[in-house]
Amino acid sequence: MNGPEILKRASVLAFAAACAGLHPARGQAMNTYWAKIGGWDMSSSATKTVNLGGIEPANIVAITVIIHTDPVTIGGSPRVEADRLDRTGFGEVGQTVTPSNYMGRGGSFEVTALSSVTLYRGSDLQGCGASCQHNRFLQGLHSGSTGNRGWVRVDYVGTPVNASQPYAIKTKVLTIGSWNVAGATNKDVNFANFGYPVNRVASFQATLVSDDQIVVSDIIRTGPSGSFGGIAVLTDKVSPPLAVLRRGPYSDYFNGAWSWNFDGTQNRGFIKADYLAAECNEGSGYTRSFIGFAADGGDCHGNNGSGAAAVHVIQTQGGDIWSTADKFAFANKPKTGSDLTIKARVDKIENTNTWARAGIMLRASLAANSRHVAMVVTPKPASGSGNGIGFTVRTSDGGATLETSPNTLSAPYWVLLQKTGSTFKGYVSASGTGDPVSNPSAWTQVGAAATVAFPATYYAGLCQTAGNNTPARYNTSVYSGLNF
Amino acid sequence: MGIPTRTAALCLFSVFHFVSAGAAQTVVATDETLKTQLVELTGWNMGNAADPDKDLFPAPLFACGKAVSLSVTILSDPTANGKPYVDNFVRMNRLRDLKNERGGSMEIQCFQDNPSWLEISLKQHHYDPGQTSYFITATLQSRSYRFESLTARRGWIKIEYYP
Repeated sequence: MNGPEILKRASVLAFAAACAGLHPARGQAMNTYWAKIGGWDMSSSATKTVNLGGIEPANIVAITVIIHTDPVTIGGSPRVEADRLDRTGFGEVGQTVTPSNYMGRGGSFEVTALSSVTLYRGSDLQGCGASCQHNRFLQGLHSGSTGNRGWVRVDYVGTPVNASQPYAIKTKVLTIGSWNVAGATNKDVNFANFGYPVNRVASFQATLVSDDQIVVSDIIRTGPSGSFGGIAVLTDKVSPPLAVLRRGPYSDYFNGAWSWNFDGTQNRGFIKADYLAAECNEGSGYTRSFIGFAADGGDCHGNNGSGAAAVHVIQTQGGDIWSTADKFAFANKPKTGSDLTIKARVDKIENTNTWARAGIMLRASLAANSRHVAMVVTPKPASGSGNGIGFTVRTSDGGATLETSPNTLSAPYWVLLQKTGSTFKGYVSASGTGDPVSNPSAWTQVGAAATVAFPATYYAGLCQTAGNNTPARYNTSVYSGLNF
Repeated sequence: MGIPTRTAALCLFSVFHFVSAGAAQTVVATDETLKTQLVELTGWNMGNAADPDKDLFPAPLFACGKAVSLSVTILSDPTANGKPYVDNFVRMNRLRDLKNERGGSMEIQCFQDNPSWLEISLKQHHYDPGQTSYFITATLQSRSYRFESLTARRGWIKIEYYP
């Protein structure tokens, strides 16, 4: 690039920034709301309305809708697929649409009323019925109406809606790998590399990057001079399951007729998939206890997997773990013995209050005023440092609660309690590797050791409180790696 | 829409990282490492048929080869109930009639010789040259949504990337 060219571009940029009403929106706090679509018999109902929990429409930044198919058998192979509802496309401008080039099974969605989104299934443009594989979404093969049909992801700015999300959604981004798009219309990516099944996908997007990395595009985009949208669909039809990518029929974009090439051998782009790590269902092996307040209905303790691999989600109200009596939810198991080490990773804590707490606890009884020790994580607010991770102790039933919180840490972080007879110590760790005995460099003690006389049988588990209950508000927090 | 030159693309001053080649796919980011750049979109009178495109030039927070997802959401001017109509820019129509097509597209272009420059190109689309885009002619579609204000928030662009 020569000097005049640089000046020309600088002028263009300056002019555009000044005149285009551009707001980079840096620092905007973005929230994500997940809504299950629920049952939708797409063979008989063209639309489905999904509640968005009170989100202001003007604050919606992005919506992604994922549809899960019913199990179907095609070519003798049973499969379940995940697909985006808004995928394209219908072919090029003026192109005669045939079953072979018809890639459209797209639907659509729109927000036209306060805080709900209407989903529309796609249409059978070609009229070829179930014989068109690409029409599967439209042809009544998705008649199941009781199972969950998919997910709506809504990213939004502004005040968080007062509706907790009892789901643990995680994200992985996978490289597509090499794909000479100019020479091969399709690309299969081994979806098994994500490490979870297709039926747990809650949202995904596929992005193409040009050889010289100067152009990035959504693979389902439509084109600047017509439709050359591609498709991306996830399927478990084979072993391993695949992410099937297909470029659109319009070739100029891909064959170098434009300034960008897609025929190299380097990584061609990315697949970003959000997946349901754990759902808020009753977990196994834990007792739900509401300490100091009545069962709040929204409480649920879920897990996925077993042992240290489990992911736990707790949704509850609760006031606080403080003073002489507590109000919180406790997913616990009775324990005996002189010594115990319990640790867990608090993956996320919802910011329902600066004193919302999520962590681990050892408790003498299930009474509200019971002796206990706990390591509790508080939220990191949008501004300010928060209240950190604290070591909380009540040494006698009905006594005052003392807390040592000399840090500004928050989730995700590991917490650990170590019981040796009547001596208790609390630790934090970024990595969670081992324990303070086997790997002392990985753990930092919080506060001083506490002495609390515990009965022979006591309770151990996850403790959580929303930090306020006027007005009542549910707090949803996520844990993993619980081990004791 | 601006088209970057091959000269720019081949500039030796590239600071972009390159994901390794080969058939194997690798996980490069998770929910804990993925980041987001939001760009608020205003000042686009989509009702002006002579202005079907919109180019934005925000300062990028990411290296171009590390952008993993793109989203554009379009808001109408406030409707009678004071709320905008919300649409996904890349959506396709839900009807058999192609004349109701209202898809749009987005892509981002980076300038490797100057990583502080980024171009986001938005473009309306319609598939029948004789039929103006749904976005533009909302009032002709028996719908009450308009996209004519130059001052109202027209929508958002979300780019997810990994550092």
